[in-house]
Amino acid sequence: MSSEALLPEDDAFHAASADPWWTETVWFSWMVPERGLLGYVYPVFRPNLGIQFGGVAVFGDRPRPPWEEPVHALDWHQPMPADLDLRHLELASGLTLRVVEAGRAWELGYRDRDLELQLHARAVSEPLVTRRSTPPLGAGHIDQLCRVTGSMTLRGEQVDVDCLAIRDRAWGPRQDGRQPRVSYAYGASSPGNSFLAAAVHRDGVDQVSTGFLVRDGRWSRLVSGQRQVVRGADGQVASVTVTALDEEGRELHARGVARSRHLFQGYPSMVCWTGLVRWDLDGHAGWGEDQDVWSPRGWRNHLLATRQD
Amino acid sequence: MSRMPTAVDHDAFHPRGADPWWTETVWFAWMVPERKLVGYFYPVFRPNLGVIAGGVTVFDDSAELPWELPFHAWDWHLPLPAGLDLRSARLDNGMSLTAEVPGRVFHLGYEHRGGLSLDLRYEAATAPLLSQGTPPFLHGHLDQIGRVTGTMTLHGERVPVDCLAMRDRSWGPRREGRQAAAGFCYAAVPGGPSFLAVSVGRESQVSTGFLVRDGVQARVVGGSRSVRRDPAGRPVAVQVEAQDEHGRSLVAAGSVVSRQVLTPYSSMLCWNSLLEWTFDGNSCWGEDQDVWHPRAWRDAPRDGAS
Repeated sequence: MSSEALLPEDDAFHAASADPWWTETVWFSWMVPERGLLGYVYPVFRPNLGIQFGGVAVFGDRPRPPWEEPVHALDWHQPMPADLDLRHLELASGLTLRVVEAGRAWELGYRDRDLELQLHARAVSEPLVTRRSTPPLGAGHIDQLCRVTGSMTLRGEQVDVDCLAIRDRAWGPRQDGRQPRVSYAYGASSPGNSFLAAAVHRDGVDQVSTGFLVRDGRWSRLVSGQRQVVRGADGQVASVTVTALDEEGRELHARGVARSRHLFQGYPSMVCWTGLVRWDLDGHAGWGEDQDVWSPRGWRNHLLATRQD
Repeated sequence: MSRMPTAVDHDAFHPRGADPWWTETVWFAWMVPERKLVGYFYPVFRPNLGVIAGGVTVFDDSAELPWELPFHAWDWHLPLPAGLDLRSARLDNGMSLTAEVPGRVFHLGYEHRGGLSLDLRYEAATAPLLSQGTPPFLHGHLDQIGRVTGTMTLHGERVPVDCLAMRDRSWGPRREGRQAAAGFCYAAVPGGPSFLAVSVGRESQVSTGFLVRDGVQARVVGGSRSVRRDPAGRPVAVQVEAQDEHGRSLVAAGSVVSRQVLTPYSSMLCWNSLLEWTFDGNSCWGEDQDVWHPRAWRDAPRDGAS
């Protein structure tokens, strides 16, 4: 079954309501697994507040606080220029984004003292387009696997990039202070063998509510499933298993081993632990991520409970 | 040259230009030393961007990272309501502030479903120090030690508060992305002397502050702040040697008993510590704030001293 279609205007800002918390995001990830590097480009826009925040982060090969990561260039309060166009974006931070082919190909650039990026992302899967809220994905979400190529120059060292990674877009009201416990895992061994599983934590179980499976080149939406994790003494995900069903009745069994975990501080009231995952996808080895998302209070309670065990 | 603080300096929003980075802040600290606990009440206003940032944070010796602290709720983008008056302000994040006696007595209230409520009264115990552009302060700054009394209710436990702690106010352009190294430490003996020493640079040259001794308060005009660090770079002990404008000598030594790392702004990283100070022959409580640009902190050599 095919995904809902992308619209040409989905590369641009969507029409905002009057809600001050209207939030539009652009996320591209990339990875260099042999170096343990995971990168995010994540500018976030609140047009009704006139503010742009977020930016660029590169997580390294061992756990550190966010401010000690190789790159942690996330703003809170950049004035959002009038007439900004996401299809030809140039931000004061040095981040640039250009749509090369609508809904299919993009160029990313960045330059500051720690990092220079010249990346090209080309979609290799159909997009998962969510226009009716399917928690954890809101009404206004696109998730799509891309091949990301090019180079990152990290503190003077050029590192080639050639990976399969997700890009997403989101738009809609997103008020700070509210954060349910959710997760978001993806992996790919090849463009024709990949998955994304987004889950909501309910009754002690991570229930997969949406996502996609690509197998033998056929894309289909996930309709149900579970994410099960084994955690270490630090409370962090050590390994993760996703079992799910797609609309065609195909079963997904993905088993992953997590590399070092990192805090992505995208929002003040979101504790998002992420990191590279080495996946076994039906016997095929691949790479991807697992995002383990909590409210600050939820995470602290989990940590206290973990330490008492 | 210094001027006397006005009622606006103490309590209200200051006149501002069109700079989008114009930032006005209100900070109150309190501490419960027997629990090794310190709390901050710190709303940050960017009126030209129309937002409120900051919030309330509480640390003790159980954790130092924001997401592990006993309580930490920090906003970035709370919409700033039109007509907000700092002299009687109630914010959507549960913070409330009332200037009961202008420049001297304030009431702090807070209710947060994350597990903290506050009912605190601050009464000034020293004269305010008004600074205008004295580094590290960028523009206007006011610092004043007061007695803070009342209660905090933390995860259902009622904790009485009775301490001497700092409040400050600041106003002026404060651009995101820049942050000079700085230090800010103070201590106060109940009914006795107190000091504030503010320093600049990694060499921690004291640039301003005050000394209260024998009932006489004078501006600190020079000196040094030395920090002993653990192998991870965190402050473990602080020594201040300074002089005030009357030529009086200030020597104070403090040991860290608990700490947090706070990023109150995207481009500021502070190690905030509760210290037990020895000062003028007394043992007393106070704080040290060790301020970095996050990148400078990341790249600093970890040699255990500075």
